[in-house]
Amino acid sequence: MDREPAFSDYVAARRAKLFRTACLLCGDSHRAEDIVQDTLARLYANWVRVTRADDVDAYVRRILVNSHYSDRRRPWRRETASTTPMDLPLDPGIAPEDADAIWTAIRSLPPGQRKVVVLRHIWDLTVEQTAADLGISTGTVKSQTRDALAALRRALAPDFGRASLQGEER
Amino acid sequence: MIDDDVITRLVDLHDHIKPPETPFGADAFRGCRRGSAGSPRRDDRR
Repeated sequence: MDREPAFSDYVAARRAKLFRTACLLCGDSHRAEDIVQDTLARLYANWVRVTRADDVDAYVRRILVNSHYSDRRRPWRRETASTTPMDLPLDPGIAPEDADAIWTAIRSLPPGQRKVVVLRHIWDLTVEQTAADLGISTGTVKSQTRDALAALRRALAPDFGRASLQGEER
Repeated sequence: MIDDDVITRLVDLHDHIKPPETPFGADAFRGCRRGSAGSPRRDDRR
């Protein structure tokens, strides 16, 4: 069967982005590994059909987001408050305190806003593409994007952001 | 533009997240072989 080399090539090219996306979506690097593994297992099972599609990334992205939904529905995987210490593995080149501030801010967003921000600004999707991926209206995408960016802006503003987040965590 | 700065910082964090060393592909292959009919964890999703 020749799907395995093609699948492996795709995974090698994309697994880092999928893991990073999953981290931002679920706010937990360990859960992100599970989500990516689940996504790739489903991709492999449907590889022949998926590769006939115009945009494999779009298909994979939807699986990833749906895996995130499925994962959240499991009772032992409920969202927890963003009060745990940062355990995100990082490559060199980013200041730890800056990474911690952004990580805390993104985790403080409601899951819906987090998804919209990730799809719009990490995957560079249009409003229409994001709406189609998530099965919501373009108006909802716009309002959630606006609310998410406003929340991130408040959280990341010097002094105010840190003080505000620390207050929310108590 | 402040939103640009927020997005830049978010993208910067994203770009510096370190993926695990273990190849995900290998895990996915094992999952498919272990399961049935192409959905290795179907029972988990009721």
